Amino acid sequence: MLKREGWRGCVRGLSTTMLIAPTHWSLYFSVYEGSKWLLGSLTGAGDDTSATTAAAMSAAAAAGAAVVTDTVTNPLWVVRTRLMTQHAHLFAGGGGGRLLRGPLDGVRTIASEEGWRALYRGLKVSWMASLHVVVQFPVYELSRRWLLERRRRQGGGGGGGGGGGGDGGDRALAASAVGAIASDAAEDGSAVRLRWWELVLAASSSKLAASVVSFPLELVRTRLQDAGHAAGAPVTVRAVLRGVVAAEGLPGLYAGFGPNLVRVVPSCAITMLAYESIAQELSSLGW
Amino acid sequence: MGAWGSCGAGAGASLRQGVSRDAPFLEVKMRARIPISMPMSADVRLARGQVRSRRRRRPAGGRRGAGRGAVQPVALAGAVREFAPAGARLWRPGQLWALGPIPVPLPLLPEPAASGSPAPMRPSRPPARSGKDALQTSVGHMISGAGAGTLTAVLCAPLDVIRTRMQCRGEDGWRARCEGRPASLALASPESLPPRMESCSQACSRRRFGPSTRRRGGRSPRC
Repeated sequence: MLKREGWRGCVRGLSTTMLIAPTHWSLYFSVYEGSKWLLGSLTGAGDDTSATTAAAMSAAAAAGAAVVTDTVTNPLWVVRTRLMTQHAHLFAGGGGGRLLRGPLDGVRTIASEEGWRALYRGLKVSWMASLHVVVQFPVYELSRRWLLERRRRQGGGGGGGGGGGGDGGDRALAASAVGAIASDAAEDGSAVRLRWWELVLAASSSKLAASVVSFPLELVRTRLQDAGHAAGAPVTVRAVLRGVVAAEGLPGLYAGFGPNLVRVVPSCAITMLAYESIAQELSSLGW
Repeated sequence: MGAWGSCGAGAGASLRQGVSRDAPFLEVKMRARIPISMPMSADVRLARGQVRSRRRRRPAGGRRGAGRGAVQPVALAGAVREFAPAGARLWRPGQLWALGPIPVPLPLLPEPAASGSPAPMRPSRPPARSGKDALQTSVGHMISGAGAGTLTAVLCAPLDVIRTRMQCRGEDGWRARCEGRPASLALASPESLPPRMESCSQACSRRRFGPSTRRRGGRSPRC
């Protein structure tokens, strides 16, 4: 990629990403918080609400937020995928039509050439893929509890050092892009706190487990969004799945999982720390 | 100054109310910590050495927790249930969901009885969740999330591009790498399917429905 396209090849679609990220995450967080509050008031969750129920409600809120956010931002994700792959298609000898130049041009071109429905390709799969929180929540909970237990056994009461971790980090995880994880903070009656790297570890492992489950769906979504490059390319979930399995076998459903693995850890760490830092700055400003 | 009371036996929380510099305060001493960003109008003093504040740096001369909007991580054990203002929500034992600021001024509690029985400490007025606080919290989450998401997206952009391209590589993807061929990006279109798959479906449709059925949109049963 570097040889053929230079450093610009590594940041294809960044302009669209810069547009998507704030839109996506600001919408996600507000819907997530709102849903959680709404669910709490609807179900009358109170003192006796068990941890499982609270976690399930958080998971439901996260899934709901993901569905709403995906629906609103899907056109931009389609454009982003096309921007990322169009040069590769060009070098591979495929991909007719002119190159998209940016998010607005992309939306306009796709809508005029393929119709507005093309901007919503992969939406159903996105909805399905948002169920990955069902996996992510329990895994995060289990790993966090295991780490807390380990720390307790080591006599690490009152830890919490090591940077911006501890309960603050946990809270950040509760509503962060790291994955809308259950919002229970610390263990009751315990002063044991996790270090920041332990939180990253717990978040990364949960994200990883969720990725294993949802990655085939993500792959199908990406191919659906990218389908405009080839005439006659399948445009239904079933057709894409059949095509991939027939042509590449089951491992084909995990193409690109390696970079995804590499991406998960820094992504979790950056998101968690950035979220926490910004939240702290805002709180110091009285927000 | 107020006297120490305790609530939630077993959780080790002690509360004290009093007046300092003409301002009411509530002092909380406890063992467990649970952070909650809780906008407080009251002067909540956290017992030294018991509760660590998330916002450790204060402006010189500034009072701890003073002023509206001061965000303090109030660590509350199960005991604090008794202290929790009406409207606050405990999702699980020990976790307080603050729905609004503690009203100001806090009602001063009577001194504990001579028997030493702790007096329950509960603000008399239920706090209402002000629209401004809710809006501020929401906007705070939005800004934090947007900033974190943007930063992550920018820093992980190359990996995103690689992942997306690998996802779209089609049949020349992992198999080509295993066979030592250079991978090219191609979509898994019907034309790119292996002959086995094509012949199967073609034969199936020819045998049962005939080729014209598929062209008209008819669905063939699974082979």
